[in-house]
Amino acid sequence: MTQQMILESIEINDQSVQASAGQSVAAALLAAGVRIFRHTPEERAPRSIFCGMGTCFDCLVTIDGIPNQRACMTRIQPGMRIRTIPNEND
Amino acid sequence: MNTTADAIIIGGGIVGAACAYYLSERGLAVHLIERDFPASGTSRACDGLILQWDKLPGAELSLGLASQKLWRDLAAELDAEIGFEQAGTIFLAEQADQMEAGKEKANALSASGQRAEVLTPGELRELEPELALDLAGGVLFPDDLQVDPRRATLAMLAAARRRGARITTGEAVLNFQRAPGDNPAITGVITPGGSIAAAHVICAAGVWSAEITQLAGLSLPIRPRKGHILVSDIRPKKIHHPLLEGGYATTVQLAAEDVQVALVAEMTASGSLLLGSSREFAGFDRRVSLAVIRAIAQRAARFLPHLAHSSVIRSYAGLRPWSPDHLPLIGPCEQAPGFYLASGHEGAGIGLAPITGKLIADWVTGAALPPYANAVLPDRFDPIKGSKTNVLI
Amino acid sequence: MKTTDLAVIGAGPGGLAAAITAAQAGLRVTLIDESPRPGGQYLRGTGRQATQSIPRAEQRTRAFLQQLPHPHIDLQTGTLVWGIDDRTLALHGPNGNFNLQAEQIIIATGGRELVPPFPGWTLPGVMTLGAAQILTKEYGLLPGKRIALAGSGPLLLAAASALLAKDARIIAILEATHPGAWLPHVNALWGNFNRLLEGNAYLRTIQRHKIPYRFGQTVIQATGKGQLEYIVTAKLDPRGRPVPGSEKEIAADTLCLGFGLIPNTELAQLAECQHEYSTTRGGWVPARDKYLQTSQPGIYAVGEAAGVGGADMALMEGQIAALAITRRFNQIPALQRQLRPLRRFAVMLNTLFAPPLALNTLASDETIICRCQEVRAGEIRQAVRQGNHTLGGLKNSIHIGQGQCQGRTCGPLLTRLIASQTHEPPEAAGQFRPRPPLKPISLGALAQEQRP
Repeated sequence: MTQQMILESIEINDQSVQASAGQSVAAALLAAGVRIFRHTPEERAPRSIFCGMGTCFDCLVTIDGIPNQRACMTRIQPGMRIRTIPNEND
Repeated sequence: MNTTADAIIIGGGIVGAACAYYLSERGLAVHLIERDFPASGTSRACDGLILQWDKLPGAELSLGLASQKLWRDLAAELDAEIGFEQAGTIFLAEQADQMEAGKEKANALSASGQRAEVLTPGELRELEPELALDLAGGVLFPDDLQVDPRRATLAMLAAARRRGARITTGEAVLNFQRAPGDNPAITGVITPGGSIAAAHVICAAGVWSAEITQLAGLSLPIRPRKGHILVSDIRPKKIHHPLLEGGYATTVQLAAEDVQVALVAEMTASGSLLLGSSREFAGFDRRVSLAVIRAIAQRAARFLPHLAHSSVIRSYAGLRPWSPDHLPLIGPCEQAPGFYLASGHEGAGIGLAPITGKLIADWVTGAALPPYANAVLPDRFDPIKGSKTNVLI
Repeated sequence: MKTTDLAVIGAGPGGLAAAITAAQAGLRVTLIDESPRPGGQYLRGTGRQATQSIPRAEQRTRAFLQQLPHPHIDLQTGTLVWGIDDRTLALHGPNGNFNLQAEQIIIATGGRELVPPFPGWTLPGVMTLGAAQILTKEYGLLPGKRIALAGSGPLLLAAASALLAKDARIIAILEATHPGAWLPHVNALWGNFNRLLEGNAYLRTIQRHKIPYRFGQTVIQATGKGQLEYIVTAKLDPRGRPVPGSEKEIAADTLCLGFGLIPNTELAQLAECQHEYSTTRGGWVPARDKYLQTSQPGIYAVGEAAGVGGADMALMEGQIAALAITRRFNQIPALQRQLRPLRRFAVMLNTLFAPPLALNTLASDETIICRCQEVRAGEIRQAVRQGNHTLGGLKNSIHIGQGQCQGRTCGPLLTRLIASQTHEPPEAAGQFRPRPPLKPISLGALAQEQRP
């Protein structure tokens, strides 16, 4: 599989980032150095990609204002706004 | 192994648990038999709303108000987290005629000492900013309560256990023990684990009560009335009160019969949103109907447009024990002395569980009964064969 | 409403083989997959590798894939099957909701990885072998800088090979089983020499890179502040229990784990197909007749979704089911003959590499088991002690299995936890009962009127 070298402009936590077209949101986050995708509702534990195939629902981020999107199952689009869930206790 | 008890309760849902709670409180040796696990039936497939405005003034409302008081006491007495909240509820009027109906309910309840506040569309949206802009208004009932039915069931059983009640799970009642000869009295039950002798046997088996009463040679007019619930994940919280559509605006045509759908939205302690509701007769089929959950989603999206982005995580169907006159069957059965019914609550089982338990305890111990106890006697279906002269539907 | 002769759910090796085989006989086929591209998890994890040759199963899968687009196949990618009512499927795709009425259905929904939990397994940086392969092969992204792999079975080496093709720094590969356990199974290798050769190729690659490849070892703990920083490895005795005193702490920022696959049976369960428990096929699987039809007439199940066995087997099964549906029964015996050694090999692999039940003791009472609802092992063990010996019973007494993943991740773990506590066979724990939607869909999508 050849790698696409087309870059698209997306936003991660309000920061502009260049990401490879066709990547999953999870890959784009990791490539941008963002490893922690969310903090759990009860214990505020950090979570990231785990199964990578859409069955574990750990990699949930907010995309274009819509929460609970699986980062591993969503492809980036130009102008996409991605937000990870911070630990509100930090 | 043969044992004895003062009272046997058949069924470990919320009604059975309440019976165990109040009977054990009066010092009786209670043995509760649950064929699956506690709250495995309707008690875990329902919402936890305790309403008064859906009750007709008279016996029904009296039952409701008495039970409301008992729930408040229970919330304090039970040594466990049961998700109890005085959340109030809001009756939503989509059209002007529903608004009229809402005002009538407000008047009826005010006359009984319950608070009710009629809301203009503007006032409604101030309380619930997520609601659609084109509703006719609503009514706030601040005294309505909410509880987690599963937790409450388990908590009442735990309390009963602490007072010496025995609870057997995973065993069904195979038959009744009868008095010898022509005596129709029931003297106990037979289970796979052995027989249990008791002077009082209470059937709190919900929609499965008919199976049980058949063993006693009685037929019961209680039928399963199926309902659906969707569970949606919404963070942050988008609604502040349980919301209920005032009427059955939507009917889903299914092969067997029409299904009535009306919005009910309730937040749970864990942050998920329960969305109902539907009503149909479908026997004991608890499969989720795709057409019905679509219709519930549509009603939810109609009233709460921003909910469109929430994730529906799962759904389930429960069976309400429907009774022909919309009143439960609570009390002794003359045809079978020693046998009592505590069932037929339809959609009010959670709310009316405590008063049911208390009435059963009153009957069993010979205590004085409130006037409305008569209205719910099983023998009004005389004999318990499903017919009655004045059937109110 | 849309109708089709055959709906194939899942476009991995099994689903592709089934769809093409059926389409060749003139059937109208709708081929559905949740991913944007067909090929399944299998092809996401393939492509250029550090080994020289392309496995036969990959070649055959690509051969089927190359026959798309096909005039008789309506390919619906990015589409979720979220419900089923008799033979009507409820789907949600990029253009919205629609129903599909199918004469026959083939379920080819694949499998997912099993990871027995241990302290720290939820930390960012800890992921499955599959996740690591997808990041590397599909997106050209290394999951970390100091990568450890642990688990059991052939996927472990395949993942290592994929990572090495991108010059990953792998600090250790830990195979939980002991080589001594492999000897009784030699006869199952007969007829599976090509698989042996693949394994050998992976091994040579790892040796070439001088990566520590240890047997009878696994990771028993992961620690770090906010993300993975250290792993603790330990030797395992022949029963799979950590040997006290053998613990070693190693710095690692990524840990990739995989102990075999679990069949994705949720759709078959929702369709009310009867299931049986098979330890040699990955757990609960739908019961099937010799033509791979389930207990529901007109519903077939093939590939990993019906029993873990690899892509070769999925390809065979997809063809068999499609031939049965198109009534070309005379072509089936030859395929069934080829299937037999593949089944034997699968049984051998699954038996050999099955994670020992003792691995369930790795979870301390504080270890999270239900990742969605953050339920810890201690609470679960307490509930089991109180007599809740089934998944349904547990779900009733504590809040578990009701989060977004609907028990997919924790279900197999709970089965093993219960079994290790009660010493009853795993099937006694039963299954979670799936209900629609099979995966979360938005309320707006659910409320949408169907496309005509």
